[in-house]
Amino acid sequence: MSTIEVQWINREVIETLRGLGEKTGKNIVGQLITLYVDSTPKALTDIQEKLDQGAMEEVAQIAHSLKSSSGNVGAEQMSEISASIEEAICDSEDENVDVSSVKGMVAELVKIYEPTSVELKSLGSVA
Amino acid sequence: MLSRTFTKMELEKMSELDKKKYEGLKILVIDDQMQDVVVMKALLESTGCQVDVGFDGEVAIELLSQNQYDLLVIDWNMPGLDAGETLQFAEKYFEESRQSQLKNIQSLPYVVYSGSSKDRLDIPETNYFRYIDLWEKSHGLIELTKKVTKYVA
Repeated sequence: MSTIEVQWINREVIETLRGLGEKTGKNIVGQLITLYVDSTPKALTDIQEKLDQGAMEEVAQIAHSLKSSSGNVGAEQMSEISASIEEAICDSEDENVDVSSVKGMVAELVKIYEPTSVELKSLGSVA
Repeated sequence: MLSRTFTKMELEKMSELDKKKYEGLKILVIDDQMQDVVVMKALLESTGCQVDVGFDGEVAIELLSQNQYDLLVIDWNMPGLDAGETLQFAEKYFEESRQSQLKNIQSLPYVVYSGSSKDRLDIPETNYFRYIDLWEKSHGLIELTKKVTKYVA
């Protein structure tokens, strides 16, 4: 019996960061993972709050930041969902934003953050 | 303030980076996102460049007025002054200033480092700053590394 393990982090990105770290003599992987796991829980709380308040422009801004920060550590599903949230808001007129769709995507972001962060931390602890 | 709108495809065609090598040069990176700064600084330092960083347009203007740089890498969307406004305000400040060292920043080339999902960017018409390339955050770290190292390594 085999199990299919879902990967939340693109290892090629982590290896690229490790390579950069070796060239510059800095722990780039560790630095980025620490920044990411320190800042993302607050971003996820904020995006849910702004969504509840109907402040869609702010929701899009937080999604914009999450898209980039997630991409930097290879958290591709987090980055892609964040990009979809940003696009859903920025590509629509205010009154035409599909709020229920955005809510679904934000809920998905929150849901996948935990396994993403667990995997990320395990990669960060590898020398 | 004057600006001209370019599509990203037009901006790609305007790239001049393949004509130059930037190894050993002094580069200023401006971005409000700490992680993006860490990544870009590491990428450029790994190729032998010396890198200063700042997190907003006001700091960019201050650093540009105090130091000589060979290249500016600037995030397009920032809170406060965005990149276009930063370049225009910097130019206005330099033109009004009579400090002699500021003459040295004439025609400083800059790269737009953008996470914008928009297809078009308004590039300001400036005398001191010269657009040379667009590096898109959405292309991901692997593509960005290829692009940066292609020109800088």
